[in-house]
Amino acid sequence: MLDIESKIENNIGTIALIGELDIASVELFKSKFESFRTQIKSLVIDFSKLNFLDSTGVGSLIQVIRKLKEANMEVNVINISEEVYEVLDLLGIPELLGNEIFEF
Amino acid sequence: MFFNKKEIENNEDDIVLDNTKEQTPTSHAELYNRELDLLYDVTLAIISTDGKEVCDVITRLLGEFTKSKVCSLWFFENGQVLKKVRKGFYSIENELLQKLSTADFELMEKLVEAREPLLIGRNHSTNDPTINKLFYALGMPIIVHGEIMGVLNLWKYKEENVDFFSDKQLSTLSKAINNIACGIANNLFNRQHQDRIKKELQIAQRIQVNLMPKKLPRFSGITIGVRADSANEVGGDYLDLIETSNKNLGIVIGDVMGKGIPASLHMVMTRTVFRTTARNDISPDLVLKEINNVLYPDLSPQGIFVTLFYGLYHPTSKLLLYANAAHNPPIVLHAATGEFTLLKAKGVFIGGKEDPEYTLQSIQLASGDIVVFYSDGLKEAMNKKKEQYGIDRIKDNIKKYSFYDAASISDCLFINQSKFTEHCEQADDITIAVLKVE
Repeated sequence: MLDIESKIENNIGTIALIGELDIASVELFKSKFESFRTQIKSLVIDFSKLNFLDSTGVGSLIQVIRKLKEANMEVNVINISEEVYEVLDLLGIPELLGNEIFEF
Repeated sequence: MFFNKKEIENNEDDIVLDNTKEQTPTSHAELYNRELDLLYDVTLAIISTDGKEVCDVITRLLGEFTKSKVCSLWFFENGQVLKKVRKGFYSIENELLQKLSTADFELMEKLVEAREPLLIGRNHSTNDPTINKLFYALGMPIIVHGEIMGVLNLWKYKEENVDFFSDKQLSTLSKAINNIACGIANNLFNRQHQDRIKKELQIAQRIQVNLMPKKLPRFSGITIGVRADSANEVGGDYLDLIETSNKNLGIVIGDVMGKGIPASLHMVMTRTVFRTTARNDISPDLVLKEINNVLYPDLSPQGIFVTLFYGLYHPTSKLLLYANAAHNPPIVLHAATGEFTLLKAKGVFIGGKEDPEYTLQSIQLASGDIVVFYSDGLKEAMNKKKEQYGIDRIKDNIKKYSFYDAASISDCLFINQSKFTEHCEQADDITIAVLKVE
């Protein structure tokens, strides 16, 4: 189950993911992102209430971050829990996409 | 849809077309309600009943609705007129089944020719004069997308009726039956479609099971054990054991993002590239690099990634060379010290970036050492309390069963993990490989 809280203020979009980002819910996240894409200059993805992330979820995160970077938009993933960071780190994602994007 | 249960319940008293009241003109609204009634009941039957039974329910409903003595429903399997099957047969009197069986078949054959409703006893007759004398019959072809899929036949005694049906009733009935027929036919078609997919999946499963290492390669000085279980028919976990040209053991474990059919396709692609690359004792870091460079153009645009660990074991020196493309680091239990080592090595997952570098690492194994390779399905398996199995439980189990051979250790790891998750549905593919130095 995934709930999304989102807002746009001064061209900065915020997407807060609540619950589980997995094979069942990635489409929800991706479509939320797509609906935001043209209206924002930068995006903040808030992980504070994310309690599970599977490989498909990681895949969707990579896709979203790549698209933003390709469009020269700023992106930050904030409030990452230790467990979730461990998963991302094991996959070498901070290194691949930029350490500065990921904040605890 | 336009079914209104309340309206239907209010009209329970005159659900059936009563032919004894044939002379009393029935209002259009009433007929419409009856039609709704019938559609509602039959739709309910289609939704809630299974297989052959649904045809029996429908023939009974239509038989009762029209106050017919016999009602039969024929379907042509796979849309072929050659394969005619009487799927449903309702009769108010048992002996009528036998009596009308031949005539019913004959009517069905006539409908295949005519492709339009036929009335036996009015403008058509059967080859059996006795039947013609005693019965009226209405036969209707079931036509879906221009193809005749089956027929529906209704039989009545002649003396009970002044006429078979009035034109008005006939048109109502015809409309209702056509709607129902489409429903049934679509339902059957969907089922056939599902059966086909199921069969294809079973075959795909067999193919994939055969791709798993069946006969484990034998090497002096080590025992090997593997266990693998997919959450779905096919899965995205990859495990392979090969004997390289210089008689070393190549062991690869990987996990494709996602699960099911899409993951299994990428798993097979990965396997093909691995097998062609690793055969000739190429260093593990270069094997991973090559796999990435071949697969990157296919994986990257779709945001799909594969984690892969590759180890090359030299049986004489007991040295394990390895490189890791972001897979769960395998766990080593050292017999001499009782300490654990995780086989970590820097490297991005397959599909992550163009021409990546992987770090080549090595570990010297000694007698009694155990190496456990696994996919995250093992580590992340959850119980009812939403607790993950976790790496500590895996380590505890390796220690607990460390005196057994590799095959027993892999079995124990697998079984204890299933005990932990109890009856929770397996969410992800689980793969375990154990290597033990003798």
